[in-house]
Amino acid sequence: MQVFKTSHGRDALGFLAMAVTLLLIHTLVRDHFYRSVLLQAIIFAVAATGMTLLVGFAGQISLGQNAFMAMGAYGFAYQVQKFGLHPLFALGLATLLPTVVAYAIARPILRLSGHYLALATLALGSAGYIFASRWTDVTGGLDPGILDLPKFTLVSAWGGDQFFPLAALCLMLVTGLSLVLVHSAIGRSLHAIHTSELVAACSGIQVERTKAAIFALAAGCAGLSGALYALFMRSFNASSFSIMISIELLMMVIVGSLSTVWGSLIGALLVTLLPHALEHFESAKLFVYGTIMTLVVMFMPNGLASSLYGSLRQLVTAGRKA
Amino acid sequence: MSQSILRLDGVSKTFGGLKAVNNVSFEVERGAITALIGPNGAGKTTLINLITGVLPQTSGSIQMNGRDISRLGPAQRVRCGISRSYQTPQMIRGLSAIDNVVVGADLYSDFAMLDLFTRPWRVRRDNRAAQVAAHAALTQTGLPSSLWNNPADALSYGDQRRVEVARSLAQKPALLLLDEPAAGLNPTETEDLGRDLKRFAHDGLTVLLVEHDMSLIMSIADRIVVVNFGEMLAEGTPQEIQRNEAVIAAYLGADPLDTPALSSEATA
Amino acid sequence: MTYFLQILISGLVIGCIYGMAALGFTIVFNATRVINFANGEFLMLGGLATAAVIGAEASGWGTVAAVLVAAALTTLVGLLMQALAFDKAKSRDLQMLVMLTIGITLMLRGGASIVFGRSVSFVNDFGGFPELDAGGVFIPPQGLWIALAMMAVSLALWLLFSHTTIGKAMQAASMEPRAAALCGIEPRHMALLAFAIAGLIGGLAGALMAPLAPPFYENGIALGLKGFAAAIAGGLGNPIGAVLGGLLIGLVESLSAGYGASGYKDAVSFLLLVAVLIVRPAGLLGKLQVKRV
Repeated sequence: MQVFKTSHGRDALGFLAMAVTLLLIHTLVRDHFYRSVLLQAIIFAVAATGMTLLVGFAGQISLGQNAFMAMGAYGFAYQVQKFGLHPLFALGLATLLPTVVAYAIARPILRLSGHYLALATLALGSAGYIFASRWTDVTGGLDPGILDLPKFTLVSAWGGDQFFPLAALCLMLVTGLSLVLVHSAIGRSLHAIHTSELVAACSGIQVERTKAAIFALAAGCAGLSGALYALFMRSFNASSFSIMISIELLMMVIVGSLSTVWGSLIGALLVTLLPHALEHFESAKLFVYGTIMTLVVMFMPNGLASSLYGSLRQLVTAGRKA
Repeated sequence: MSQSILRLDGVSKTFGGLKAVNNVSFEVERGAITALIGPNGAGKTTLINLITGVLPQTSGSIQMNGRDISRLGPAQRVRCGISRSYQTPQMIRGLSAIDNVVVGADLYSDFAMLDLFTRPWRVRRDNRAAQVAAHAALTQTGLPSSLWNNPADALSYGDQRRVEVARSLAQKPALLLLDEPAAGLNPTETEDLGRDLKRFAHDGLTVLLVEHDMSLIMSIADRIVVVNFGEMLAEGTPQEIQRNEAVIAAYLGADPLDTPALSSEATA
Repeated sequence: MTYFLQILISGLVIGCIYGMAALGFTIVFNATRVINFANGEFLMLGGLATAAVIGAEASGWGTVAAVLVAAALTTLVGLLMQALAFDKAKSRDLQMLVMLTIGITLMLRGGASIVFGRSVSFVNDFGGFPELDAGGVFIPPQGLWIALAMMAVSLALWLLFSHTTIGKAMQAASMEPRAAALCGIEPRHMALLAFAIAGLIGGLAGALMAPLAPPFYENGIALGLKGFAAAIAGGLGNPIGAVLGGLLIGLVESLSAGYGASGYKDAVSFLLLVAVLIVRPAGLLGKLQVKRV
């Protein structure tokens, strides 16, 4: 079929499949627990998509996304609780806040690369967590945190779970925008920047501006994810935004794919589901993550899912020839 | 006399205590093929990096079409019409051969990040235009179309060179800077390269190439600039340079310039 | 005034710890050009191992044994880190190396949480010194141990680098790897030695720090960040700078805790790290250039 041949075609089909899948989940999955877990995956997938663009495509390792998620979450809660703003409006502003902050600090930060960038963003993320836990006037700190945000209801007459469609739509939006981005000149420039900033600049790419823009975009995704999280949990505290969240996001990208948008969805799903699938996982989680990350880096530099997918294709091609 | 498209005036570059380029001045004639030669370590690649804005010069000025570009960064210099290739082909990982060339054509794309949110449908039109330009550029370099969709870093060395030249052409440059384009090519490929370059010049493109391959240079260069130890040694037509004693001495008597087979007999 | 001096003293004490952490970064960086994210985990493991051996009961030789065991453990971990992971991943590009160090950090952190548990441990002061009181300014005996250790480590390193063949070989390899290789200096061995030293010093620092800051499996990242901040502030690659940087970070932290909001003291060090990286990445004494386009 022609549509499978071009990557545009495949991505469009994938997008359609994703929409259908989300619709099916919403209508067919009734069990509260499963819905909850899937919602968590969806919420994190929003942040993971931004992370894939930043880390996978542009090659900028950021370990401070937890701070942007926190900004989104607390920003949302603040607007709703202190100003009584409509949740959709609050969602939008809560996404905008970390985007603007990220764009403002992007240039000095992104002059760093490699280890220095990772450590600088880790430092910022760590500092962000400290602020979230100590600035109790605004955030409520670790105890009690933010309490009793209202349940999301767009139209009270409809009843039922109205949050799932909202989260699903947000994910579709973020995924759609990312797919368009990847197929555009900007997407290609990310590949160039990742390969060599020198070659990118000598190809006419405005390297600093592009890096700042993608950093801001990833921060916006994280902020949206954080705001959705706040809306979903309705009560939360600073412990949800520790450095471990940044690490988990990195895991999602590594496990999924460092080179496709779909990979972040897979990664988010796997990383969210894993603790529920394996008993006693919580206590071994860190060690397992570390081992996976180490092994993947050493043996599968394209990311786990991508490498598996690649091996699968090879098997299929070999099988076809036989 | 044609106007000069590029002009270096007293350009110097110091790294710490080392003077890599010292007071170099020369002009590049529009529509001509100029060769920059010199022994290894003479500062040729540094000069290319200075011209393309990768390195800021310590002193002196660089002018393009009469306009001082000394303060501009690399991306801006590309917009002034300068395009370059590298000593070893730099393929952008993760992109196919044709997409690598499209990156060159993307110079003319005006798709900004905000457009993603306000008019994402523009991407289609943008990509189509870039594809057409990439198509044309690749055809000019003779890369077989069966290879166009292959990952660029999986191509052979010679094909990667073609992709790189195509990427430069897609930028529709006025001045093409080539850093040792014949390196690693066999004699037949070198002849093809010479033919291509002559064709580009004939179509109005100015070419400045750094090269060691004397046969290539002798057959296609209109003017030659010789540098040694970061300083200007000589400048002139191939015949003048062949006879220049300082140049011959600089090459330590190894005289590829004197060999009859490499005299200014035109091939192509 | 006594308050100020007290703050100064505690800043210098903790600064010695950070200095030792910074030395780990610096020595490994010099030998391998890698910034070992996981360096902070050596301190974390040192503290936890010490706590595991002697529990909350400190007794003269028991404490010595605990410290030795802790240091031996972390040295071993350092050796394994290089031999099993870094050595194999040498050819990977920079982004992969960064993620490798993160992966190793997580493995150690996770491993520690499994082996040593997830509760905070407590270790008593090592004792041995009388409590000193200089006109109202209290000098903790643990602080004296730490200062002594810092001086011993500095002396040992100085002797190593300037008076032993192998130390000089390490220096040569870090300055000119290819020339050193041509002289028969095997970069792998130098790397192993560097990681072993970093592990040893880190474990020692963690053990000494245990009475002051209760060992906990989550401590590693913060300690690593502060150690790295110290290494950068003093100039990455310069061992003297590492020590000075450590003292600086310690003082800054102590001052901000004593005169500002103590809950935020860690954040001050972290933000200082970012500031130094952006503004003056060469630090006080170093020559490192941050890569730009």
